[in-house]
Amino acid sequence: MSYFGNISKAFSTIATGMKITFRHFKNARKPDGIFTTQYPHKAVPLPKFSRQQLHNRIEDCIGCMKCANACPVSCIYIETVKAPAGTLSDTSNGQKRRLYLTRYDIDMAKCMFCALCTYPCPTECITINSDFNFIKFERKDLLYKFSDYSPEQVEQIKQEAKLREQQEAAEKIAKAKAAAEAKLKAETEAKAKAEVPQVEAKTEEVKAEQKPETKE
Amino acid sequence: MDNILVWTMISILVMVGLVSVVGIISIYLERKVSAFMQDRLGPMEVGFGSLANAIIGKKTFKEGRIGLAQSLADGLKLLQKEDIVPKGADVFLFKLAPMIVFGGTFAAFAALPLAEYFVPADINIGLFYILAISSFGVTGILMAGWASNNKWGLLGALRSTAQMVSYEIPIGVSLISIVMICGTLSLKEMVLAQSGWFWNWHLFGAISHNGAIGIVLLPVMFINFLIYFTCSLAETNRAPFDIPEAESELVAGYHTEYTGMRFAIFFLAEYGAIFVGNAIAVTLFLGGWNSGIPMLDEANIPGIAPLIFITKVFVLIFVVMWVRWTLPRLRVDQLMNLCWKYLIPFTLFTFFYVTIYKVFLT
Repeated sequence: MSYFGNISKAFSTIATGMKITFRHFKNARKPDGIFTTQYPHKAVPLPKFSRQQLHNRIEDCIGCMKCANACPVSCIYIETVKAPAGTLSDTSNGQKRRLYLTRYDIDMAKCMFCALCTYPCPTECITINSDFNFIKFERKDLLYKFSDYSPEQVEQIKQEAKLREQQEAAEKIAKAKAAAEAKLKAETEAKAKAEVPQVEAKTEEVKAEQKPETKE
Repeated sequence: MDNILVWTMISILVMVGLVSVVGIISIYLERKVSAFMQDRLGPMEVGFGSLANAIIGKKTFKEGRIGLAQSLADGLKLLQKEDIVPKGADVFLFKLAPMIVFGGTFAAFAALPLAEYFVPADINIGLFYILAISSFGVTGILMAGWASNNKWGLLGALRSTAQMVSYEIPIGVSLISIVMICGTLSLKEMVLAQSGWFWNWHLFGAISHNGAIGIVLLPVMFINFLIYFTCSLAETNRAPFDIPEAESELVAGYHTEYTGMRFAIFFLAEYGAIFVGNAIAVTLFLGGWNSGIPMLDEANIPGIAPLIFITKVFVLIFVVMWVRWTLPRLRVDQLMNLCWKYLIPFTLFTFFYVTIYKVFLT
């Protein structure tokens, strides 16, 4: 290219470039001229079903363990204590709550955001929402504690449960005694009468009722 | 006499403030202009209110919405930073370098004619003084690159020196044309010669000196102005001639190893140098403090002359930024090619043109 051709090309290309940048500079005042979203003040809404953070409405949770069992990475920790009937209110969809949730922790550091825990929930209390802003400075802060009992309350609940258990055990022994006595009585009655198989069956039924329920 | 002394004192104080204020304003402008050209918003959060709130620790003031105090907050942050001197550095030179760079720029501010009675140092060789003292900064840059004991720093300093030395030539020659027309090196007298209507400005020839015949200088003066402007970009290491700093190649060039306030001083000096370079362009070509409309100048509104001067300089600074965010960086050989093959022949041509005009037409 010739010497003056170089110069004219330099001028024309510079002018083209400068025109483009000036157009952008001028358009910056228009609402669609700028692409920045000022994030903390204004956020682009996430898709409706985006899976970000797990939340548990603890007042609806019945402690059925279905979510913990469904979790592929075992990031949900549940501990329950049996509650006496009638002490806990019903869930919002009318299910009975029979367990104190002394522990309901979700480790978001382990969570892989599959949301498989939300499907089996019978009361729909565990949900995954679009709140993605849960940055923490400590890893332990990612362990979300949903239980609404304080450690003291948990201690109290456990002690009460223990007392109740002892009471129940005592009652059970008493019942067993009564049953044994009844059995003895029945046996003596049976001895007195001829041998009747029906009575035997009845005592079996009583025994089944008194079987201790599994804890937790 | 007393009056002049007072004015001199005031103008010296104003200059001391002006260097830092110009730096702060230019950095803010740079960030905003670059943001708008790239469809971004630039600094938006740190207004004066939010800065004051952060300092006193309470939410007393209304928070800013366009980030006016961003550069101030950055300066405050840099003040608190650790001042690191690298292990292998030449400590004395390392610490001296930013002072020399800043000193060179600051000394150049002294001779800038802001208004007729607002020249801190009204010396009769003002232009020569500014050209000499602003080249003094090269020493500091070379010093910084060498003393850092860092390959990026040294490479940047070498490039910077090569560039600045070669671009001194077209700058000098293009300004000699103006000196020939005016017959003086005093910046104040050059501006006084351009008073009146805007066609008296040297950009449009030498009408104020020789009447209508001065219009024959119009094309060469335009060329001179363009060449001066291009070279002042190269002098101040601005894109597209920012190869001494070349972020993608040399980390940051000669100030790679500098931290905290020393880095901030380099930064301020850079923007100060841009201001000085464009202030010379305004003084010599664009009529200095004259508004270009005689009625406005004769109205004698207090303080308007420096305002006009600074406004003109900032318009040119905007162009500098505009160029920076448009054009890609030149390679070293392209840079030298441009200087020696294109700019110097053209300045020599305009130099002879003006000489012939001066000898035969006046």
